[in-house]
Amino acid sequence: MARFLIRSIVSTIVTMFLVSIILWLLLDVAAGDVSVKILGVFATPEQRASYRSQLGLDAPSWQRYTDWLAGSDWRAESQVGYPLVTVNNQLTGEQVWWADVNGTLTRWRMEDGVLTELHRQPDGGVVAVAADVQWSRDENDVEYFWGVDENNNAVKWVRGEGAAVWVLTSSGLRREGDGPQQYVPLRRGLLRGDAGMSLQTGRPVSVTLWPRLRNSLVLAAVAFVVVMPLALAFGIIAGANEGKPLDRTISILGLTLTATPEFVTGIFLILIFGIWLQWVPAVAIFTSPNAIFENPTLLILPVLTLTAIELGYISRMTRASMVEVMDSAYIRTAIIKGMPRRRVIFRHALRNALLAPITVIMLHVNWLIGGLVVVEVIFGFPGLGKYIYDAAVFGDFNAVEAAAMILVVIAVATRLIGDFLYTFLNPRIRYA
Amino acid sequence: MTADDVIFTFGQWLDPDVGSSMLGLMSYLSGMQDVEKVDDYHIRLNLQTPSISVPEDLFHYPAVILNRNFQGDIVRDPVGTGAFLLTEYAEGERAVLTRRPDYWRNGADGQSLPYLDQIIYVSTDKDTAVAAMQSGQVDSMYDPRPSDWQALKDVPGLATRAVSTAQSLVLRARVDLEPWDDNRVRTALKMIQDRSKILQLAYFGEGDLSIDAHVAPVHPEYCEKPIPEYDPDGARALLEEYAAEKGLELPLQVTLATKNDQNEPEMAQALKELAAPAGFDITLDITEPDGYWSRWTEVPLGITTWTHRPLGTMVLSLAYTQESIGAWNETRWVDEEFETLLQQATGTLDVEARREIFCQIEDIMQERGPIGNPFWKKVWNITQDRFQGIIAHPTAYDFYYEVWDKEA
Repeated sequence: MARFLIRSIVSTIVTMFLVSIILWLLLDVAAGDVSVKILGVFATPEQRASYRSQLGLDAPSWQRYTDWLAGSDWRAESQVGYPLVTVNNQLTGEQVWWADVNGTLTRWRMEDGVLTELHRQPDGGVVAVAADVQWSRDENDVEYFWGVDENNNAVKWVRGEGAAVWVLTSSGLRREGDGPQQYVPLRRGLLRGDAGMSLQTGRPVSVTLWPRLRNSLVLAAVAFVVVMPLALAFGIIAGANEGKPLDRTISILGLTLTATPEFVTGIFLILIFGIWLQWVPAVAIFTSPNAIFENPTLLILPVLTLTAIELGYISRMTRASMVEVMDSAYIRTAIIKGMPRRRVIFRHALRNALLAPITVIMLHVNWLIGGLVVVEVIFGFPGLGKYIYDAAVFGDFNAVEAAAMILVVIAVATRLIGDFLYTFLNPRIRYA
Repeated sequence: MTADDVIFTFGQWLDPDVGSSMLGLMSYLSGMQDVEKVDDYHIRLNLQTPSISVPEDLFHYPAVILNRNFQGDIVRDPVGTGAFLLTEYAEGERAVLTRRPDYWRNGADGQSLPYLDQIIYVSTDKDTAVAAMQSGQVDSMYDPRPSDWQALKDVPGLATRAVSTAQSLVLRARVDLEPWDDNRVRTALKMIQDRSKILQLAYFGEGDLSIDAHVAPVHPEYCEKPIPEYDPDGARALLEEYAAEKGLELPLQVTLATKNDQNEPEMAQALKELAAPAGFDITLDITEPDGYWSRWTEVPLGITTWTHRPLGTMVLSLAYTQESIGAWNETRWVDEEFETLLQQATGTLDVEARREIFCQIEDIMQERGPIGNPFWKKVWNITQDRFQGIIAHPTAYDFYYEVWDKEA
């Protein structure tokens, strides 16, 4: 068993690695110029080029990939010459980068050709002082200086040669002189727990991703706990009573529910229980980060909607599997030798009949966590599905990559759980 | 914040590199030399030309005074003088604003403002917001669409406040391109608007009819004119005259571009049907909002949404002058007499005197202007009726300074 576990973990890591590379290449090739999405169609080529270099997109693809994976600070540190450290901003959840110059956290600002040092005070305030730095000279005798700017980049300023840069503000692009010639966006890399900044929102991916994942996990877990026992019970009852009115009733009900798309079910549920009767909250309005725990009734209608879709599906699977097992020779033997029917079903038929549904159920867990875009949109539920969808459409590669990694882990984990359940249900299956 | 921050912000507005739309609005300032700091809490503006719009310009939505150290992200540096503090921000989900205890203003009852302790903004799409309103999960929704208004207006417990605005869907033609360079064709286009029908089809009848001048009844200087009738025969006569002169056959083929955003498609469809008997054959070219905004100044014939501005002079200076070509003059229409009158009106403080000038301005736009403008929209504020002191604002500003909850 231990060997099986280790092998699973190793294969998970390899899978994640491969998925990340393939996704990276796909996004790099297919997503097109992300600056069009961010800056709009009015931006000039000059503005685009400036903005791309601020995002570090002018670096080769392999380098951006390694930055994403392992971070860029070690690379920038050798340029800047000081250790680079991060301070957490409570309000935005961002890591703010500073150079640790002999114990003083420092950033630099270039204005009108004058370099200023910004010193971080212990209380979080910032004091600006005239910079006292050594400009380096390159082989062409050009003076340059590597420092940390105010936007979490390691940047290279060249004396007397401020580049014109276009800075994106909420009111549009602003032209600034005295810009750096080169940018290295600072990040710790995914391996060190930094998923990077979302291009779409300008905020750290992880600040949005984790709460979304948590919300989705809670929704999926509750839906799972509600749906699966019900669906399995219905399936078993129907399968054990094949062809009888009970079976027909369950089958028709299940088919009707499954055939109704979730946006129809969801809207009917909202109209009836949320707006007309006002028994439960109509939509998932999260007034605080923990709304889902403070007011679990928010989950009722989304879970009911998911139940409606899943119930028919899983119970049909279980029924079919049950029917097949009930037809097999060993069950017939058990019945013929006079064993009570209840005992036949629970002791002999059930375990074998559950093998097929377990596979389907485990595959559905993935969908419950990452694929609920429609349900999330109907109920305004802040879950993972819509976040991934929006990020993918935008070409927000940091967000897509991070979400994909999570989904790979979930997919592998559910497969593992499925495998364990197999060995439990059918001791003949062994993993070694 | 002190006068230095105000001076800094003016510097940003007046810097062409920044590209603020305030620059066009403040054409009465020639540069930062006209902005003078008096002391820490006063500045003085030395205007090059008289203008009545200074207070309104400073209340315009881009006119936010920024701290001079502001780095461009309000979540990172939430510095301001407003009545609420940003205490939580979750991207795409929620922003929580909490009462500022030391806010400088007092209400009419002498108590310090604001009265509300907390405002939670939740980000959802509008359909979800409507459901949340109907079920009582939220107290208000931002800028309801006409269909939202329909769904919510009769819900018990909700108070609907409507306000007439100068927001409109402007049918505008490029006067530097054929056939719109000929005033007969433009006039024909204006005549095919069955205004009340368009208002009914495009906006549930919720608006005020308009007169093809970009001045609305809510503007203080509006000069009342009769609403033009739907006249397809008159329009056809004009088009026949034009076609005969140019050696063309009717119907005249034109393409109407617009976006699928705020009921423009309904208006475009109505225009297409209404214009057919007059001899226009309109092809519709409807795209998503981004697709239209990337070419709104370029299309020969289009429907552009214009937002409300509180004074009649403000939009006219933005969109119908020589100076605004290349910026917001989407029609390229320039008229010397019009511009002289507009300048005169901008420097006239007395409303009645200004109205007299506006009677002529509206005449010119009706007679030879570049736009057809069937109606002005209403906007609504829909909020639970236990909240008092709510104002429905024509550009959907949220004023929560003096709102209170009568059940609290």
